[in-house]
Amino acid sequence: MPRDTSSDVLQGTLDLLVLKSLALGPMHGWGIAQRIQDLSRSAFDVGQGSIYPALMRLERRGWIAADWGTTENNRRARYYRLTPTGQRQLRQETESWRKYAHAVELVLRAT
Amino acid sequence: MSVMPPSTWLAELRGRLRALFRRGALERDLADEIRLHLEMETEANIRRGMAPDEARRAARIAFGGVERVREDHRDARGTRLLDDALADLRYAVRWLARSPAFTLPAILTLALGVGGATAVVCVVDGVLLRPLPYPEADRLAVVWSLMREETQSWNSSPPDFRAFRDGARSFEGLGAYYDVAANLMLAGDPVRVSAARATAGMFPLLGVPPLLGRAFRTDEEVAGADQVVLLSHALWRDRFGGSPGVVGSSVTLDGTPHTVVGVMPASFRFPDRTAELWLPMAFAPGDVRDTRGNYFLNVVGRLGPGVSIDRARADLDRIAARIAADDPDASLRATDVVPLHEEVVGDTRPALLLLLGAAGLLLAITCANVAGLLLARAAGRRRELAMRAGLGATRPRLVRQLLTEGLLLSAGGGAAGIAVTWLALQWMRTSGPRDLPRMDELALDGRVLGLALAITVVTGVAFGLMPALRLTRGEDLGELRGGVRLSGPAGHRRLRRVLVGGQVALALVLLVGSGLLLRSFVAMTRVDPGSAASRMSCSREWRPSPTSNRPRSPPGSRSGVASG
Repeated sequence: MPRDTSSDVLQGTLDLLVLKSLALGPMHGWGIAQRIQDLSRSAFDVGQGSIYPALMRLERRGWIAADWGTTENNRRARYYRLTPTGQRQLRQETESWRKYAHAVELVLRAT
Repeated sequence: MSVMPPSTWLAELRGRLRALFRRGALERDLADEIRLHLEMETEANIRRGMAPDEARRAARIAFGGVERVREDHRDARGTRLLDDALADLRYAVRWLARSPAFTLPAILTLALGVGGATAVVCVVDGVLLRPLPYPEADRLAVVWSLMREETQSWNSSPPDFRAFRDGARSFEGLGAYYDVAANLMLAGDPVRVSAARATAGMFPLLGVPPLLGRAFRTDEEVAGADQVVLLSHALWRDRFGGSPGVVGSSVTLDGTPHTVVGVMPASFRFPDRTAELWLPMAFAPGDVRDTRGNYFLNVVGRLGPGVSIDRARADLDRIAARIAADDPDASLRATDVVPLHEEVVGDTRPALLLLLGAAGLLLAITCANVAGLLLARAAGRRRELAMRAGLGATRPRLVRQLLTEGLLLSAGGGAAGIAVTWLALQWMRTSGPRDLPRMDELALDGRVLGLALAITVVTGVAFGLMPALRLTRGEDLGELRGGVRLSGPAGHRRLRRVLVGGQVALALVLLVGSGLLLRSFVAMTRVDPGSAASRMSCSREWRPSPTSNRPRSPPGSRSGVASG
């Protein structure tokens, strides 16, 4: 299967969004997708499924951890939460994202 | 992404390892999560007013391709390469197990190639490269005497040796010994043992301390005080039960009581492995052997630090010249100093290096043969490979799979090869060529195993890569989609036959080479005794005990030579 190499930037962004949505509290996959959609006012048109590889990636790096829990409807679901490392990472990434966005903004504003 | 600190890196490694070992659990978890996700999304859609069918469809669309998510999830685990490698390995095991008619000959060929080459390298290493089992063995040298009107090198006579020992300045020490045989009386039974009589200086000079007790003292180099004995480790273990109490006890040697003063360690095999005990060298006043014309002492010296062989020779030549000047009857003219290692290894160097080259060639041909076998077999797999390529397997992926098969095969061959090496070394150590020096030191140690492993990996890559590259060439893969050819073109078959023939021929050359080598050793060691030894027979008889009620005769042995 051909690998999508242009998705690196998108992937990094998705990771940041997932981290941010988990900063609000532990949540399961569907809930995270909802949060991202709500917070961005549905501006991101990525398949909801793509958060699962992102969650795997973040878990592997030790930035988030997961436990099985139950939903309000008594369903078994995997709840993800930020680890201390993940919180630190979120702060760093947020800052570098802002710098990056600011720089792009500066360039674009020049006429 | 930012650069990761070490703690993150460790967590990452842990995460990957966990992912690798919990592959099944991860897959199940993901399936559960996806199912739950779709259910929740469907319910949310129904709450938004969609019909159930519509809601389910919309949930699937919002989720995206499930298979794609699964693939990406696998990639995200970071164990892709290992997963693939394990899959390749499983596939290779199945593939090899399915066709024993191919696998067994291939492994056998490899075993002979790897085993033969490793054994030869082991012998060359053991004989030529490994230092002798003495500390700073490179400073040990043998001293030969050169005579007037003689081209051959001679041993030393006792007076000459003493002159060397007392006059030499370039040696830290000089010692002398000669081989003897002795009758050791054990519990009333005589045992014939090989022994050496050595000067007291011989042991500190070699630098190997006794395992138990002490070596000889200089005051024991005097006739009458020389009834002391040092035991070899083997003799001590086999005949004295390895008891430490043996030191200080008395044993009867040639009918005379001797005190055991020490036991040498197992590694001490001096002058060779046959020596079972050592006695001090002592001559009674007026002993005929202790005269200038009796050249029977082997002289070994330890050079002073940094002293060259040439300087040592010049030093001893000076003493030889003085002896010649003092005694007009002396035939000693000069000396020759030879490093002990060179003396022990002797002329075997070129022959052994030749064997080494032949072993390398054998290995190369083995590789070519197994590659040929793989290639012939792989030709039948063209359709399979083409199908996999058609399904999207990339060329590196196919090459990796074929390489895995090659490595697995060579691992099997290597394991069998180590067994062959072990057998070969066992044979050489016990019933092998006694004339080849240092054979008893051969051992299957970590270095040899490492070597076999290296040889195995190299051969595996060599013969795995050849068919892999050939079979997966672009035009081949394209052509494969069409028809199937069951065997390579005639040219390839001929090449294979030549290679198989080559291996057999080379194996034979190795065998014959070793045989010739051994013959020349036997010839070299067969010294002309100076009399016609044919049609002569030699007999020896030993009496059990001088105190037995047999007819009187002096204790000890009697030898007789009869001409017939």
